[in-house]
Amino acid sequence: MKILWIYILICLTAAGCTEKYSSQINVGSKKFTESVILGEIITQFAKSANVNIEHKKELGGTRILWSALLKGDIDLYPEYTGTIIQELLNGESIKDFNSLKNSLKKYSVEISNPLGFNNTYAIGMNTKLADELGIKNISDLAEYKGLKFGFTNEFMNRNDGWPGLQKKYNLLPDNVAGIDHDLAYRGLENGSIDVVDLYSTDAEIKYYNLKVLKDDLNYFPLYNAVILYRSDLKQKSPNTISLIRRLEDRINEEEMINMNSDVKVNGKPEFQTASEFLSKEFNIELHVQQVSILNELLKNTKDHLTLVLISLFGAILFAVPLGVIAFKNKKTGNIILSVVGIIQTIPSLAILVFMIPFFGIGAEPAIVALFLYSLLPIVRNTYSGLNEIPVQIRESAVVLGLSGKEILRKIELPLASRSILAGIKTSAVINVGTATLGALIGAGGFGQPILTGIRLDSISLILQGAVPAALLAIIVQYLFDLSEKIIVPKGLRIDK
Amino acid sequence: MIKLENISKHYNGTGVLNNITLEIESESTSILIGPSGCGKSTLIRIIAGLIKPSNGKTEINSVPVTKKNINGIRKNIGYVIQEGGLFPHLSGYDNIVLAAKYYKWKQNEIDARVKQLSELTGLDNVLLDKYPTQLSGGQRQRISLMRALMLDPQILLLDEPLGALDPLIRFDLQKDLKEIFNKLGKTVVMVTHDLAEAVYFGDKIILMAEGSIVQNDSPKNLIENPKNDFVKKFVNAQRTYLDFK
Repeated sequence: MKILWIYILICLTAAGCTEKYSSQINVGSKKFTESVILGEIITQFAKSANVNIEHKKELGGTRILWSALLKGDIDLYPEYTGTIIQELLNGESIKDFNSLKNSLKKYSVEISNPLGFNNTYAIGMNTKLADELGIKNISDLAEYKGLKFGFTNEFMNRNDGWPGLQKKYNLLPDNVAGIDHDLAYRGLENGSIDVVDLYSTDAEIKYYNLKVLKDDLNYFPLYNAVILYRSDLKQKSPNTISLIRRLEDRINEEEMINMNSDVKVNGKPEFQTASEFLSKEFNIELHVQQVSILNELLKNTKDHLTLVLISLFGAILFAVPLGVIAFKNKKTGNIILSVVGIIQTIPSLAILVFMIPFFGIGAEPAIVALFLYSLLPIVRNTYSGLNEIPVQIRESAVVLGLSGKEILRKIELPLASRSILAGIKTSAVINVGTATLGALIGAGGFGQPILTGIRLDSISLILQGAVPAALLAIIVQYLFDLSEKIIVPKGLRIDK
Repeated sequence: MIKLENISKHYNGTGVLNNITLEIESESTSILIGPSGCGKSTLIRIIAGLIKPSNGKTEINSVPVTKKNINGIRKNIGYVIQEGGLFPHLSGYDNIVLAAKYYKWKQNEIDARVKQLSELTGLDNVLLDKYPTQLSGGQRQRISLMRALMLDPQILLLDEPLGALDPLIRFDLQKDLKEIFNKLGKTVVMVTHDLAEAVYFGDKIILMAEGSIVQNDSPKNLIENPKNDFVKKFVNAQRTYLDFK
């Protein structure tokens, strides 16, 4: 048994170590369009100089990207000066760009010069409503308590976000809700939200004809776009560094707004927008082929299955013995059941983020998180399946003189098999659904098109992820129903 | 020989058995009888080693039963309970041979023993492949008896083995069981609440009440010389169709 555990540990560690020591450069981007476009520009630019580079796009928010950069899972990513100062280096006194540079050095992180545009936070409203109420400045908002505020979750919690804004302008609205940035625009359009946070380069400002309120008390700092990269990139790929230098001061605000609206409003793919920019600015003609929907689907299926199968298999190997221990020893059992129960109450997104410091980004942390999530149903069903065996049956086995091990193997586990299998089935189905969140930390899978679909407001993209995920859940359920015929002993399947 | 010395059992301060001392002779049939809650089932489960007594000791063939040697001693004990206690996921055959396989008997030894036992219990061989849920109560008890006898133990413990059967099947099985006991010459201890059954089977009847033995005697003596009013009352609390007027 011990050998088995060691083997599993080795497998997991080995899975975690592959790729990490290769010469490939990894670019990260956040899960909003501008970040993805910038990531794509860097990637294609480097590819044109024959750098072995890959774009890990849509990796959740600032914290995930920063941890991944420190961990070395990505080598560089586009960021904004305001975010670095307020979010990442919060508490350090940074007066100018030079002191920002020096502060980042402590983390072995370097910063490029600004790329040329400022994408600051802004507060926006429906123009018609703003004109009706006569609202021009953010300070005007203080007079209207009935307005509904809808802010991105990141903005709600950031030091340079809502808490500070509220204090500075003395805003006391009745209604403040957290919402996804891309969904907020829809809320504005249908009137369920009145005031939102914006990025000043958002394409939607023009598209939805939004009024950007004047920051009359100068609350928001500058958010100059820059590229953060690991110090060791200089040795790893000097080429990439010189390309970063060439991108400095080359993208102005208007250009960025145009690129954003190309993608979000005109539906152009990011890779095409990026290559058009490179061809215009640097005369680089790069032939990039769009991946076909079928290939995309195959890749997502493979990624998704990898997440589900490895985590579920690990969970079965771990949780069934835990259930047996819980049954054999009531005291330890109470502890085991509470611990796996507590794990289940941690929100899945939080568990994914907790895993990053240990496992970086990508499939490994997602697998570990899914593994932890799969434990409870299996442990609990193993425990209750064993617990429900009538005393007389157990005593009959004892009197036959069989050893405890033999009773477990020949009598107890077969009798509990239906319950155990039901637990595994529950875990598997939950697992298939939860695995879609893995895309937020770069694990791919069916969550990837869902994430992109939400960002680009594209139902068809969302369905490209949601439909296969649902189908997979149904198939998994069907396979388990089928396997019941093999695993559950015949004597328990006969109608009385 | 089974020897119990000063056996007591209490759960959370409530006594179930009080200071029981008892000797059961080899190759005899003893019947534990008494009203519900008198402790007869607890006593037979202590003999089977399923419950540890709070006080006192058990000896089987002059060997004190301990935690260490109990599994070895169990090879020498067959146990049948009400409704058989068969493992529902195993066929009748697999139920019967489970222990023999565990002790690594050869297949030809197993086959010979199963044949012998099905002749003894009068079980149709076709039924061996059926699962417990596919069998009648009487068939289940015959298989349960075969399972108990598989390793040819000296001691056979039966806890209300015929309790759940309808009268006709019960009548046939009583007859068969008695023949089997006579033929095999095992030390049999059987729990029942039916005095007629006790008299039919028992060399000795051990009448219990409230955790103690009231009278341990031959059927004849129990009926003709009841030790006290309780025994008299218990013996007389039987109805037959002769009561019909």
